[in-house]
Amino acid sequence: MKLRILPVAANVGAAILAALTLPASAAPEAPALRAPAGKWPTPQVLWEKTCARCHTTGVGPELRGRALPPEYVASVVRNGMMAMPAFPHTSIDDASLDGVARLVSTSKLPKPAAKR
Amino acid sequence: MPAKKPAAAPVPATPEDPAVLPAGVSAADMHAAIAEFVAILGPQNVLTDADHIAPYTKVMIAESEDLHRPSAVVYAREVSEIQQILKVCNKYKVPVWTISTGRNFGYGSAAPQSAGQVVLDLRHMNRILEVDPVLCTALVEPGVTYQQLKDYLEENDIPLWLSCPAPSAIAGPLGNTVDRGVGYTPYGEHFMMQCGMEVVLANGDVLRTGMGGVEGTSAWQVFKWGYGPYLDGIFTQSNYGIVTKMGMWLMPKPPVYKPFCIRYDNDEDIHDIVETLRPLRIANVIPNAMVFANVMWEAAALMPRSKYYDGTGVTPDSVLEEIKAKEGLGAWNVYAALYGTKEQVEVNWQIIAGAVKASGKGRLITEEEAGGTQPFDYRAKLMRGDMTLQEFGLYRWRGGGGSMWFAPVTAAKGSETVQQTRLAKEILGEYGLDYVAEYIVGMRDMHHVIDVLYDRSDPDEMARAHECFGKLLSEFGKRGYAVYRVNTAFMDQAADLFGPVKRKVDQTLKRALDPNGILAPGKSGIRI
Ligand SMILES: Cc1cc2nc3c(=O)[nH]c(=O)nc-3n(C[C@H](O)[C@H](O)[C@H](O)COP(=O)(O)OP(=O)(O)OC[C@H]3O[C@@H](n4cnc5c(N)ncnc54)[C@H](O)[C@@H]3O)c2cc1C
Repeated sequence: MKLRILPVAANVGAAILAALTLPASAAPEAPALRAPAGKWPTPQVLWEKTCARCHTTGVGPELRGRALPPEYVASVVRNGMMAMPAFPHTSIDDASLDGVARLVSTSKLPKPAAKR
Repeated sequence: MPAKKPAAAPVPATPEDPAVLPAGVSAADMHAAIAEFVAILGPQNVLTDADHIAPYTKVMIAESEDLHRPSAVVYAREVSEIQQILKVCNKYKVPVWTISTGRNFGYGSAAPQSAGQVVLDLRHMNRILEVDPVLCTALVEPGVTYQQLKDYLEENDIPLWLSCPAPSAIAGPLGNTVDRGVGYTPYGEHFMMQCGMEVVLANGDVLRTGMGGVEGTSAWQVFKWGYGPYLDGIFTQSNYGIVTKMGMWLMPKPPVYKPFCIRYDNDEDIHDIVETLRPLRIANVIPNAMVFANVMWEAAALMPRSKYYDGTGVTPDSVLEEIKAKEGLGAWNVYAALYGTKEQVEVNWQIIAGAVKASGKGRLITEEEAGGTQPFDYRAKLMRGDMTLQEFGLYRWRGGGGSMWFAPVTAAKGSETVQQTRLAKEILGEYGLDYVAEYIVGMRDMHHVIDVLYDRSDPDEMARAHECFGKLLSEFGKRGYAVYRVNTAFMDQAADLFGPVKRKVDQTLKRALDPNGILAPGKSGIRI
């Protein structure tokens, strides 16, 4: 059974219906959408799904509220630093990197300091 | 916030000549190969400049980046493009190192085994081709990440769970599985839960394994073995083909999920932990790939060691005792979980509580007690296949970003863990390095995963870590122990532990399937 990539808001009913109505042995090349790798919907999403997992949990250093220069942030992301992995263009493209670097640079440290 | 303009310079129409060449390939041939790659893929997908190469050069292993620097990086989006790339590689004998999501940290990261290999980054091949919510299967391309698959399941309200390695948020199922990685759910032995592959061979043929070759089959993702010799295994930890699609089984979300911890106070307790819990694992009372994490692994999830110790070398036992007492950590900390209906979970919980009580040691800790604190929370996430990077906390323990996983296979017997633990500590101690370890429990084996942590910014410590790793391999080997997987710096040494006949057969297959040796030479010690 084949499930195509469904719109973001699709619900269970739609998913199951799609599964039931599509042919059982469709060729795997059938069209699922291919999202360009490295392109993030917004800098905020990229921040939350990648950077924040270490940089708001005490694993990596706190970056918010330090007015870090965006060029510096971008360079660390591309090259990595110590244990921080390097992120190639296929994980974070130049436009997304530019966006998240500015986000970090202009961010404020939230009032209740980040918890572990 | 809208992105204004790209941070880096645009890619030039013709890539510059690479700064490094693969062994045995002339500059002229490389130049010609690059020009042909550009003709196939377009200049934006063939990269040789420092900005694009840098992320593929960052490694955590104790060797110079220069030994692993790629000549170029190419991006493919279609199987047909890979076939054409391989034609060029065969023509000029240019080696190509394939990565899927390229997050092989502590095993070589995204960098090739030897300098000059062209990295084939398949991250753009990221279609989720199929998710069958009835049979609980998926078919994915190499560039699909766990995060992407998880988002897809959630957005479509499909109640299936993933099984992920600890850096789940940025790694991917295909790369992890073909390197025979592990996770922490009942589906934690990922290759066991893999079903059906599509593989591009060095000559451009496209093989579908298992039932995949049968026209019109509906069973590619449900029956692993197909007919005749079972081939999927030879495309894992190998360099016989480029995997372009992989089927996998997903776990139905259970009605009740109960993660828990068991704390043990003494180092020697590892013996009784194994003896108490092995029968429960084999009988599937504990169904998941549980872990036994030692005190330093636990402490690293909370803090740098400098909080308690600012010296160098091995962390003294007295300091570890202090950490245990003040932070409430065990010498060994078991993380396991129960999955099922309320009744099933309740019955199994009673069995476990009974076994722990009967053993006379170990303190059971539930989510009600430890939820909302680390490391419990991230362990609970991992045992349900959720997204986290919390385990990167390991790297603040000593700092310096150096890491190599030394992961010998252990038979799940208490006596063996005692012997392996003692030996590992002794060897690491000789080099001033810490025993930061966990056992990940398989069906009857355990992966004894030791993170050889060192300061990569200190050349002397890096040299010691390198020597130490070699000694760990050889001393364990002398006693009949060998690793389940190893980093790119030690692939030949590890291969030797499995004997000359195995190496010869590996090579025979290589020569038959890839006579020019263009696919990832050196992977698992295999070359033509
Ligand atoms: C803190 C930390 C914790 C970790 N915990 C775990 C863990 O719990 N379990 C675990 O397994 N690992 C763990 N790792 C190691 C590693 O990060 C993961 O295994 C990760 O999933 C591998 O990266 P990847 O998934 O991006 O695969 P990739 O890097 O894309 O692939 C891995 C290797 O497989 C081969 N390969 C990849 N794609 C193909 C292809 N299409 N065809 C043929 N060969 C291919 C290549 O040799 C490649 O180097 C951990 C690392 C860190 C830093």
